[in-house]
Amino acid sequence: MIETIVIAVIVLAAGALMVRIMLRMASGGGGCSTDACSRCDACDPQRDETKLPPG
Amino acid sequence: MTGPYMTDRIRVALTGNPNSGKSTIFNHLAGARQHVANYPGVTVEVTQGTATYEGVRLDLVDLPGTYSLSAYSPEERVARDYLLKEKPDVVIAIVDASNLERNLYLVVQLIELGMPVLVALNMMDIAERRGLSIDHQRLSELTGVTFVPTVGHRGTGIDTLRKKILHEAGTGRRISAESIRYGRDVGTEITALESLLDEHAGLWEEYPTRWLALSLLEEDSEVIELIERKAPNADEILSQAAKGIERIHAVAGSSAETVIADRRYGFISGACQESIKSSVETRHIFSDKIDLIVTHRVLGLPILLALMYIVFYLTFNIAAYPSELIEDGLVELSDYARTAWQADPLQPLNIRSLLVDGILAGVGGVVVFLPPIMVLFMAIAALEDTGYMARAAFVTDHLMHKMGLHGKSFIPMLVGFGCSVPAIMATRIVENRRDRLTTMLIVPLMSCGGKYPAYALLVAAFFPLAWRGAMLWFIYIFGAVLAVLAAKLLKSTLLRGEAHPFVMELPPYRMPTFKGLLIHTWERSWLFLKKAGTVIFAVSIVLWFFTNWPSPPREELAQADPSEIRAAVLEHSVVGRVGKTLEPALEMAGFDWKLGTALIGASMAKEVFVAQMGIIYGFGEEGRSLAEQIGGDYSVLAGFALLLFTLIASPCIATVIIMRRESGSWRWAAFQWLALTAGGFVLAVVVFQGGGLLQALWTGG
Repeated sequence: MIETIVIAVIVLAAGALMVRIMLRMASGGGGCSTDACSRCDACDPQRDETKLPPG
Repeated sequence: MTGPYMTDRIRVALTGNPNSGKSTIFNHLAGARQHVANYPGVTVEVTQGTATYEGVRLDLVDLPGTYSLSAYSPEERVARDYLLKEKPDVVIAIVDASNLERNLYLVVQLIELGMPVLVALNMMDIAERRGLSIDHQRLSELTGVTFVPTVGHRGTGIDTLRKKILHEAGTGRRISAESIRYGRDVGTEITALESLLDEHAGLWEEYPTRWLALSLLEEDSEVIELIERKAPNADEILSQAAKGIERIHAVAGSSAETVIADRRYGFISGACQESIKSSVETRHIFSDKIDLIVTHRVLGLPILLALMYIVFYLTFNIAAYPSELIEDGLVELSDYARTAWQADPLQPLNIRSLLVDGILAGVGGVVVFLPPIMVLFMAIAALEDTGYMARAAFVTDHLMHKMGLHGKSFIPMLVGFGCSVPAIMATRIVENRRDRLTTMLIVPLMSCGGKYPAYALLVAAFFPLAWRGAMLWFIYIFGAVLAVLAAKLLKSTLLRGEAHPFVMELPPYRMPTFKGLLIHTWERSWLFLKKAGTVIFAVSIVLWFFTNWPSPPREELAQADPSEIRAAVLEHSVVGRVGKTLEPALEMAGFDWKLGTALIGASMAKEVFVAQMGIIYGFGEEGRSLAEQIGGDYSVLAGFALLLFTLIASPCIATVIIMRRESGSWRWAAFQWLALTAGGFVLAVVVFQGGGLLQALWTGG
């Protein structure tokens, strides 16, 4: 019984962690790992072009 | 107000290298109305004059001739001070067209200083006599700065120059200094310094903060003095700059000042290569000689393909032994845990199984691929640090441009080799909506770092060692080719539009430092390990649970043969049931329910495919490695179809979310997911069924 409760807690915690990390990754925290990222200033907080231009 | 112009008076500064014909142009513009004055505090002469054109008065200043704005000489200091303090409405940079690369260095610095620059491409007659054909319109397109061809001693082009002065002053246009990029290492230091400088942004109204950050890294004494005098956080800024200079030196093996100058010349060199025909000036003789071969129109691409092949060959052959060592260690650990820690075999949901069959098998299965990933990253770092990657970008950019892709699309596609999420964010640099959407949609076809462990597992499972490098090479290139073809298709159907050019920098070659290679390899390997220790860890626990729950009734398991208990639990679980439901469709591509569940897991993060296969098969069960077990269960054809499906299908969940955010619509995110998944499945079916048919014909014949 105790083992089942421990497993349930661990699985729920892992699930919550998984969702949190996924959301963080989706917000751009996946991390650039090529030199090409230095050619792009998309992460620049001053850049205000997160939305597609109209057209 | 006068005529069609917004002002009746325009202040114009003329600058340029010594002997660029600056004074001749000045005399044409100012005529007789000029006088010489000494700049306050120094003995440097500044000539001033006035002229009237189309009713607008031009106040002209001929600044002293300089090669740069680095404040080393009194002339450079006077020119720089004047530009910063007087803020002229238009700055005309007079450049010697016959010696363009060296002269454009000053233009690049003017752009960084935030000046409204107009370039007089002077001495065009000499350039032509030397066999140089300069496409000034192309130069203007690439750099964003207007270039006007002139021949000073004949007065050719002066009238156009006057018109352009009025036009530039009317628009008040500034060229974005962001177009000159300094590479990851310098870029990081610039950003860090900019954020410190921005804490007191009000102090720097007359100086662009990016320029201040660059000048600090160049150890510009005047800027250092300015910071000491004005910034309340001067100590912090200067200490950050000193650390940055040290870090750049450690990684690049040259002073920060040299690295920055090299990147500026890289920008210039890239622009010149695209706009000058016949011959490119020789700044770095060694670099130019190599470039003649590696950026050659015919040889360039085969050289790039050959180098990539060598990288993948080394990846597998060097990393095979350490990978085996890690796997053997994990198998030993699993066996030890199973022996030392007894658990009830009829109760699948137990702590030992969670640790061994869940976490160890899931995370361990991914960590086994750390050595090949380190070798791959080290090889990429070596190619980047030598400067070859910039050439690879140059060669492929030409090809992609021919296929109708925007020049800037190349950057997100390169970032896509690391991760699709920042790559989709990187499409923000593409200004045009259609080009940007096209690029976003094709980015997941680039093989990201997350796909690598899945490729490595499948290649090791289905192909002999000698073939593995070639297979990896094929899959990376196939993905990139597919991306370009998909872009072509989108650009000629849904998202029609014209392609735009972009400067691909060509910095001079340099010998990479060992420390720099280690730092870059470690940064990327650490990202991989961090992902294995966080998201893969969490997903492994969740997947383990759904691979064992719900369990079959205890009595049913008690009657089963001990060797069949694992299979019975798996088939009864949520994962098993979902897999079984999908199996009829998956069979068309040669997959079964087990692969189906791993592919669903891969929708969360691509590495999960490997983790899930580890959980299903167990580590070292039956005395065989994971790759050997998988290789024994499926045909080579099914393995190849699976490799293609992994490349193309189902972008991970983070990619779907970022796609929704950046495109502003779930419609595009859903379109991308469905199109790629359907496309990947159709290709896998075609390969499996078509290959089977060919095989049957071959053996039948």
